[in-house]
Amino acid sequence: MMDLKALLPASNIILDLAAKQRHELLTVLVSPLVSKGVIKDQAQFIADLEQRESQITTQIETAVALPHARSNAVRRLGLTVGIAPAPGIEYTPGAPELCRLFFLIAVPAFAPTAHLPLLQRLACFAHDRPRVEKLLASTSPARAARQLVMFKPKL
Amino acid sequence: MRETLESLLALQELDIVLSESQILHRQQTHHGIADVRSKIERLRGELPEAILKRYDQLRASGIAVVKENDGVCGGCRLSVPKGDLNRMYRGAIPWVCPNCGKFLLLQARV
Repeated sequence: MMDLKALLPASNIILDLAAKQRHELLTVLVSPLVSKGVIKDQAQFIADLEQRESQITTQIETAVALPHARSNAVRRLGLTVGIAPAPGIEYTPGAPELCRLFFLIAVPAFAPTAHLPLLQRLACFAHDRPRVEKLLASTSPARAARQLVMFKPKL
Repeated sequence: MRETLESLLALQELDIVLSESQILHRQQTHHGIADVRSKIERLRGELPEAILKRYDQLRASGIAVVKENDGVCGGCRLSVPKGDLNRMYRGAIPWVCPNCGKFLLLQARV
């Protein structure tokens, strides 16, 4: 099973996401990965994220979105988590729910399926509404990281 | 060959998007999934049978199409011999990595 602890240091978790629209949100979520050198071209990666969203939305019905994209701008697999204050952010135009929880996955173009086990695990978490509510109530990035790392999906 | 490989790469991308969406949206019917499925069917209809068969075999164990960059295969990261590359460009041999066997989309030569 993928080691989420190595992929998700507390510095990759952003509580109180200050963003009003999707582009702004993606820019904030991408920034920890840019500063760690996981992403070498922020603009290119955000364009790839938007392109992926245009194919099928990554928002699921529990007010969670899992934006991800394969990109030449990515050096290695990366993950950031963002929590927006209530009522949330309109991630997909026209969607019935606003989003509060975001899992952003950066996927290198040379390993286009490397993220699927991670996506599977995060999707299991995201479909579990009580767990999502508990994560949304996290008071520190370290606690949020611990909750995600401890989560063992029933596959 | 380039057109075929570009179509295969697009097909692979759509296949991965479909897998991702099935993970995310589970059994829920999402209109986007039907769109992707129809694009996949259209692309598969345009590709030769033998190429598709090989593509499906490769996809069963991971990635089928990779890009060549400066003589290096994007799949196995090994150098492709220059002689092989020249033969591929001339159309004398299929665009397949001699090391890992994946379809190899060659860089456009200037």
